[in-house]
Amino acid sequence: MIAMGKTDKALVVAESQAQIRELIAGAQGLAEKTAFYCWEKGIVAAGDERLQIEGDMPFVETFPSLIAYVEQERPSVILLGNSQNCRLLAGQLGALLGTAVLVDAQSLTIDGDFLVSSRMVYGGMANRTERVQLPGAVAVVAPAVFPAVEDTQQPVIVPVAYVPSAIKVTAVEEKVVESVNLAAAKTLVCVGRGFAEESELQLADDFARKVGGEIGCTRPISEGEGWMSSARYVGVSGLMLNPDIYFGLGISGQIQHMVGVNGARVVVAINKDPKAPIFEQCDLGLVATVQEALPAIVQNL
Amino acid sequence: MKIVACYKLVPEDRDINVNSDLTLDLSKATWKVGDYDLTAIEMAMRIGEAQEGAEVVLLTYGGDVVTDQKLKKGVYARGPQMGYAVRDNEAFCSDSFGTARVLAAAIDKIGDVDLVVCGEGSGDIYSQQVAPILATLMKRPVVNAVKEASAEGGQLTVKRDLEDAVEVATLPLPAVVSTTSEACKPRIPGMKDILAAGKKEQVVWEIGEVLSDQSALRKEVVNTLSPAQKERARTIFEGIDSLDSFVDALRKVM
Repeated sequence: MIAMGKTDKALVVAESQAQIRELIAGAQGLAEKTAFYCWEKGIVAAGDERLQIEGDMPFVETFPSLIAYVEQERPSVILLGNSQNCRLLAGQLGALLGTAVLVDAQSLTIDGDFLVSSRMVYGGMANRTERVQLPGAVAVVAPAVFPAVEDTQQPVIVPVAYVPSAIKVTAVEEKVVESVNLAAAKTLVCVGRGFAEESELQLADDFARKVGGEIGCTRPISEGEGWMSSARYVGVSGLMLNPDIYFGLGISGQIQHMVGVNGARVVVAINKDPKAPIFEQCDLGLVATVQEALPAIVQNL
Repeated sequence: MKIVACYKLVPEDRDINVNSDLTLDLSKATWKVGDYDLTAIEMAMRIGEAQEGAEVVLLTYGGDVVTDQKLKKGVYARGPQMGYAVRDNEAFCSDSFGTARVLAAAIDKIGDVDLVVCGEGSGDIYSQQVAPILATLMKRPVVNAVKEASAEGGQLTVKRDLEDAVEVATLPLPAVVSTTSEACKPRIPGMKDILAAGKKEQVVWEIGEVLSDQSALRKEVVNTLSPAQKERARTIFEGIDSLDSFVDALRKVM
């Protein structure tokens, strides 16, 4: 995205180096000067100023210090990474500045006195373009919107006074994270309501192995039945997929789901209902139950 | 201890149609309570049930639909003693800051509230911002992504489900939290609960009774458009007997 104008000072906040590098790139297109706070330690040789809070503490405990900094410095635009903690900080900064926060921003531009962003609403059914007044705009930016900056210049270190936090982190427990990157999948096999039992998912697994695909699902399968983790759910706000081939298995083709795979080169659908909306939006379709069709395809393909 | 659980009535997404100019047609949409808000109500109930004498009340902000009896029963049947609604014909164009401002004023008016529980995000716009904004307006500590919470001795202990870790944290009451979507399974009300819910008190305030000055800056919506769907070949094979032809066609596109 090309910024149409620039504002004076941006503040960028993120937990990780990977996020901060993308956001600094975005901020440099929007503002003349960029200050940043990256919770993760390590060298980031980019941006104009790096904020530093003395001591080691969990990210959430730095918020009162960062809020006090914003209250004093009043950056004209604040960009935050896409994480639970950043969303929490964003709302607090929005309240301080009297503005609604732009979230899940897929693009950011300055148009006159406004910061303009686009994002998905209604579960991915529509893109919304919205804008807030500058100065004092706050935006949570979706991943990979901006290319990460390379190391070029050492930023000036700016100490930020520590303000104690009412929230105290007492323990951090490891979490088993299912790492699945649907966005990177060349072949995507999606499972819907046509599967009546959790045990039938084996059919989809066998099929996915045959075609070399990653498995995803619709919202009822993950949030309703809990058969798959939400990391595999297609149609969640922000997840736009561009696989080479998409297989919709036992999927009716609700618009929120189909919007997420609009970018596929080929859409293949298998559903027992000839009237399912997915047949209107596929390249190749088979009217049959997944229970009957999948084992036969695995054998014959 | 008094706990407020917030919920939003949202259009049923299955009923939303796309017009030929790619704008959305919400005119046929019925209303439902946001899915994530039922989780928040359940968490509020669980925290309340673990505290002797705790009171759990509901709060919503919306148009005329806030007093719809069927919707009210569906929400009030989940356990809370009673609830409040702020009615505003302009609520549909409120943004997260505007909504948080109304809820903060209503919570002040309810009085003596120790804990506010919000869902992960609204079922329609899903900005996930109302809880942190309203907490900050009320000068109360706030955390999001809460999957478990318990109150004891004026302090709330939470487990936060972050991207790569679960963080255990404490915050002093009064406080505000928002839950994760998978924090707990909302209870299914029985017929008795639904019948009883119809009789539970709902205090309705007009917006002017809660906020005298409604002139907040608004986030402006430039447009809301459904992305154009690609044209597809639509080669459909009917029935399992045509499997061979389907497999042939599949080989050609792979």
